[in-house]
Amino acid sequence: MNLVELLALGALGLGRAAREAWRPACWRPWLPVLVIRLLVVLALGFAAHPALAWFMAPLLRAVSGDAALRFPAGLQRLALLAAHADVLVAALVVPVAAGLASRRFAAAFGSPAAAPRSAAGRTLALVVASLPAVLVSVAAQLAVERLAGVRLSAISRLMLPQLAALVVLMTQAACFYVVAEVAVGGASGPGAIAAIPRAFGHGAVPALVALVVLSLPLVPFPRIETAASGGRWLAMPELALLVELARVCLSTALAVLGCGAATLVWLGVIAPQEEPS
Amino acid sequence: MTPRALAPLLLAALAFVTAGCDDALWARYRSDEALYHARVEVRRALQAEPPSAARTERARRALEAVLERWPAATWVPLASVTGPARDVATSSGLAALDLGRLEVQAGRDPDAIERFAAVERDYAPLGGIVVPARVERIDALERSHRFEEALAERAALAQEDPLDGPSGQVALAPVLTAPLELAERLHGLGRDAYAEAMLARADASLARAMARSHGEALDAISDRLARIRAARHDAAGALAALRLAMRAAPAWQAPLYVRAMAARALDAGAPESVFAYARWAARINGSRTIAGTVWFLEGEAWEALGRPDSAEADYDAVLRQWNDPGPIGPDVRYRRATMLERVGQWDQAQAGYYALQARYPTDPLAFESARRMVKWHMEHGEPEQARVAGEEAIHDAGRVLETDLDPAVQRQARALRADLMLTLGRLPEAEEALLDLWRRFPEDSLAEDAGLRAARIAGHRPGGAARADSILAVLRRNAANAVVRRAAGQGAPEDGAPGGAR
Repeated sequence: MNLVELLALGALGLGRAAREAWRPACWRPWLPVLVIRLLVVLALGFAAHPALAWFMAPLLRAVSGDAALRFPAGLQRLALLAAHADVLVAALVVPVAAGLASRRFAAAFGSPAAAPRSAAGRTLALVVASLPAVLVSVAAQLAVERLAGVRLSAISRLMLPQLAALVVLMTQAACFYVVAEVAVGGASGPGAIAAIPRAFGHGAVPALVALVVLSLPLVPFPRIETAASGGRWLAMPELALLVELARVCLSTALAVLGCGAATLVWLGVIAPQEEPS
Repeated sequence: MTPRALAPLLLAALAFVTAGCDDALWARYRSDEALYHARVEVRRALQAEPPSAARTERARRALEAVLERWPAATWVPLASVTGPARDVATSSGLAALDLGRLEVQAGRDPDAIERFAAVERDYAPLGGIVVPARVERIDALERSHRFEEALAERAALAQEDPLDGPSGQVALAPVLTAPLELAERLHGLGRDAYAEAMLARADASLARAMARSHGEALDAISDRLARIRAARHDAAGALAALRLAMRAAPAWQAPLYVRAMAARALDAGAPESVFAYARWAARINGSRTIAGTVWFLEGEAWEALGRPDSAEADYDAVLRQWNDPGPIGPDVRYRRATMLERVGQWDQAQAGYYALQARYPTDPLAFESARRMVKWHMEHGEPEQARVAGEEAIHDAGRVLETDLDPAVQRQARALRADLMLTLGRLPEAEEALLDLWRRFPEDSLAEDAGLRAARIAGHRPGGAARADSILAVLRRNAANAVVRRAAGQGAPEDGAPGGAR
């Protein structure tokens, strides 16, 4: 396939995924992810409430100090704390949901490989296969946080988050198809990781197209979160909680689309094709 | 989702909603939130243009809601230790303080005084609330012209425990600065013995607090204690306080302490001790902040010992070593020039003054340099040169007024212009300039002094007696500075201004 066809495939994958994503079978596996992430954000937002304080207070004090339990400092740190909690969700829950959804997308796209029960049984393989992307995004997040306290030139300080975002984007593009590889293709966790170079070789362009398009709606959120934590919304810090809840809903919805697009592209250009008999 | 799957979620939600709300952490969160929103209303009320009674009322209601929900009677008894309960009591106290500030804003000082007194009573264990309330009450008393009461309250403030809470880590800045401010006021009123007694009491109080303090509080208290002891000419005591604090401080703070020791030795009238500390500080830290300052202190010490040549060498060393010596730059240049002026090297002194004006045109010492140059020519029988230098400085001050809108710079430049007009004998213009200064900065003691001088000039000009009387009447009634108030009451000059008593 030439470059134009690959670009079109990326867009087509997203379009088809958007059409199929309305089927309950495709989005339902993501429901636990959404609920867990919403509960985490709410738990962080209401950490001082007596129903939660017994376990949230020691946790937050250890991670972010006593101020995280106060108003409005707790809300100003909400996005950062939610991002930390998201790492666990991304490592343990998202791969399973993505695996299940990937099988159902494959079925919706007419692939004979669809069998939802087997995807849930491959939990460990899915978690292992997703590890590289999770580890790289954690490393990038830590690097940005640690280097924020280090003396750097202005240009380095400006470029560092962009560079980290680029590294994360490229890693996610490289690992875009690992879930489909395991859930639809039946590969093991290490097998899916080993297949990354081949999958990236064939599907880098559609993966990048899909990831860039899916990232666009989330672009304003860091700025909005910075505005909240910088105290620009002096009259209403509670907006930070609503913004974070909106971000969680939107990013989960986009993940559903990404999962669908990855499955379709994997089926189209990466999956081993059966020889016509 | 099946009903069975939903059950745990519903149970969790039920537990969340029905959980008791008396937990201190939650109370702190809610009181923080309520105070935050109340303060937003207060800020809107204060910034409303034109002032809005409805907004002020809304702010008042929001603050009163905080006080009703977290009353002092409930939370202050729980606030004896650190923790969320103390923070709740503090939020409640801050709301009470803001209610008093709204009274001040509305121009009801007597009500504000009552409110602040009630805050001091109700939140007595919370230094972080009581001290700002007392400072506000003192200001309101002074605005209400109850000066003796204000002075007594200031004396009481100076005796307060400077540590906020039992942790010993938070010092209350107004308590620390109160003793020396009070002593300065008492000296101004000629009550030297009382000033000395107050300093002695503050010395004992701060020494006790220092033994219980840690970290930043220890730094702040030791610094203030050393200043008080230096003001009492107790060099050994001042140095002992700093040495004690230095032993508990991290190693990187040592140069700061040694520099402070050199400064306090000089303040306390022990210039010979400065050299040892200066050498020590310069050896452990060669930066302009440390080494530059201690060389400057060494220069001052040499001056105090009557060795201007050595002093000049130190001042020159600072200026040679660093192209920009930092915040001490104007001080070094000014001190060097005044010393040269004193020892009769006028040409070099004048060059120093000009260099200072060129380098730091808006620094207060640059304005002072202009005054000194004109004054020198007048004192040495050179009226024409004084006139030329004076006109030049008035022109320069006018240029600064046009280009720098910083209120402090504006005030200094206007004061200089008025002073020079007075020195050059341009009395009508000087009177107008002094009145202008007073009108622009009505609550500033420098501007109040300008008003007093304008009254004296008016009193000496034909047909100006009524004008002078009206100015003096306003100053007698409203001046915040006790010395100005007393002088206005007597209608007599105290600083050798032209004309003497009317």
